[in-house]
Amino acid sequence: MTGLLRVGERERFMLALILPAFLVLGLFQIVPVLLGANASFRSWSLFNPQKTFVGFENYRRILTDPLFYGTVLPNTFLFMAASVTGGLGAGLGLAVMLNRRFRGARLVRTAILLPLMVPPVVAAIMITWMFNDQFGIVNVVVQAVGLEPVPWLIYRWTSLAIVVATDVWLWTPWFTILILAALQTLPPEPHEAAKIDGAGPWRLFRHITLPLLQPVLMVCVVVRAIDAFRVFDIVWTITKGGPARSTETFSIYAYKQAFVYLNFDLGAAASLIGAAIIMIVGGVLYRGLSAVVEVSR
Amino acid sequence: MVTRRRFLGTVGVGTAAAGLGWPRRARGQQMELKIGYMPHPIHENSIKWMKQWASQNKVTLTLVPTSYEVYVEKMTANLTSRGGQYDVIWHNDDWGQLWGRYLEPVDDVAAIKKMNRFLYEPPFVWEGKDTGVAFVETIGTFFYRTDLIKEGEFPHTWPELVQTGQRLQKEGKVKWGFTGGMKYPHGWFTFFWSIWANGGDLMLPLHERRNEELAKAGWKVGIAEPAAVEAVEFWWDNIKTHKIAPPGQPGYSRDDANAIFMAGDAAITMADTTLYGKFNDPKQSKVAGKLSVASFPMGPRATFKSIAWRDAWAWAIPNHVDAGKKKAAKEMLNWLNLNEEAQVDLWKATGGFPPNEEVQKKLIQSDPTFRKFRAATVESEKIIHGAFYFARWPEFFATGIDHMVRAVTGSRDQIKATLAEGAKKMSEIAARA
Repeated sequence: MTGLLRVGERERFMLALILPAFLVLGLFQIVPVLLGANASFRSWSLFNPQKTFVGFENYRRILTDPLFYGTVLPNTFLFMAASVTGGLGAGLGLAVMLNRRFRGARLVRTAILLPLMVPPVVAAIMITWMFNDQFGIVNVVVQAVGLEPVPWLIYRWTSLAIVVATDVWLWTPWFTILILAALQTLPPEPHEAAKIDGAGPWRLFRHITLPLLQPVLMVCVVVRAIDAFRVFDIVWTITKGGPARSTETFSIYAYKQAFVYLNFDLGAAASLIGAAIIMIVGGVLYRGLSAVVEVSR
Repeated sequence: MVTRRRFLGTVGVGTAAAGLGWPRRARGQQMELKIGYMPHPIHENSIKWMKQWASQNKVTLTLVPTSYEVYVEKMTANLTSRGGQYDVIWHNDDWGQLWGRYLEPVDDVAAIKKMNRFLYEPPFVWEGKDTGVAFVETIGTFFYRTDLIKEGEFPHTWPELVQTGQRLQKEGKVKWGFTGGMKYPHGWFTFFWSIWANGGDLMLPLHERRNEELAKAGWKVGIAEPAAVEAVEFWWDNIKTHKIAPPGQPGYSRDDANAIFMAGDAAITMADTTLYGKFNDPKQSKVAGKLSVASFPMGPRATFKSIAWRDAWAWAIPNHVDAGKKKAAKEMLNWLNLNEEAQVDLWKATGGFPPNEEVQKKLIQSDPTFRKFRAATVESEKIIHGAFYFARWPEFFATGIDHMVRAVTGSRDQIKATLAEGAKKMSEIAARA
């Protein structure tokens, strides 16, 4: 027992190295989470500094809010599914195309990376102007082909579609890079053997390439799905959750409760409910990932 | 090669040096006032004059701009955490009830006595003390293009507004008859003025703003009353039937609407008088030099001839600021409002009414444009406050606008039901105050 507690120079040095990161993590991650958890059990608003303990009342109010379960959660999962599927599909397609030798391949690979270099808020502002009903380029094109201009951002589904498209545009290069790297490490033998057996390009892709890529694809899906669940920046910039709260995702809902309506208590409870949901979703996805990786070994 | 001992020693000495050096640097500086503001012509004008005072008094001004869209959130976080980011903050009339307890009383600023008390009560009073020093009166008015509509021929009623818009569009003179901000938090420029101009209000009793009276009436919400329902129907018709307003208007902020008006694509808009300078600036606006103002066209239910809101924007001082800085900030705000040149410049450069009523009296004598602006606004038969002053106002306001936007983008048959649903929620929110 005493051996375990003995701290030598080496251990002190290690602790000194870890301490700054631990302090930063503690002060800026753990303490705020604990404060938030405390707020979620109290009646805590800016104008009511009493901070009365109310138990699970805030959780009850969030979970029984028709907007939360009827609009916010469906929007969040819809965004997650559409954004990940869209980014994965586009990234996979681009990676397969870029995995061939052709003149200017390096230039194309660099150009495809450009969206990754654009800050999401900048991209979202750009998209908002493109879809502006009076001055946007999209309606110029729509009118050029003889159609009526569309007020894109006053309808729920067009607004959500624009948000998803922006996210897909921003994240496709990330999928492309990872999948391209995986493609370039695949062993050539299975492809060569299948070609000798007469397999065409589609069958090669479907039955050889795709199964070999599966572990990488699953990692991409898990990481992106968790990230997409907490999307805030592009939704806030493009729609602010509107029109009339119809495109609110989970993060926007929690933010509005805390910082627009100034209900810190409800905002904290919504955040913790969201954290619980994403832990469950993440757990399920990780189990799926583990199963896939296990099979591929 | 760096040894472990040397590494730890360097980190330790560096940290100690930084810790000891910081206060010495701070003591050596001249006084600094950090100003939290929104990039807006009025703020920029006020800050221009603050800079003059600062240079005369050897004070350094540090300007911290914040977008309107996140202003309340940012300031609230700063006030509740007693952060040191600001020494003077922009304080809008409808935030008084939220921030009152965090603000320094400013009753000792002499210039306040030269202002109209209506501006202060109830918005800027907390526990009997004034909490803001007004720097401009904010009053909504109709701006219209005089190359399209002759002065004196501006529509006085809703049907006339529709006829004028349609005529101008039919003649190919303009793309839209009217445009105005609609989404949260920009509802004043469409929904609110039309509800008031139709004899309605967001809460009842009509035009009551004292919380005690609103509570006595059971926090009754007025948006499902006939006057408000008709106002929302008016907008539904203007967008979808009469087509005098852009179809995207339910998603517009005031900036979107202003951009359309300044691009010359709309004949009429509704905005604060404080935007006159911007609309009338040829570098920014295609309609510069051909502008006039008018009072709200009235709805069919109104029993009075005209109505306007009269509020103010103020500067305030967080109560956790150092005593020395509080004193300097009060001196600066007092100077700003007693300096006639600064007050007149505010009006000339922006169209904002200077809060010092002695200066206003002089402008009435000397400036015909100012007389016209006053006639269109504060000389209306009814003068009200443009907001409410209970603690849950932000949530109440957002919920109201969300339901009005839902109503105006949905089926016309559902407008009343949507507003009734909104009224129920809003009443619950207000009662929680």
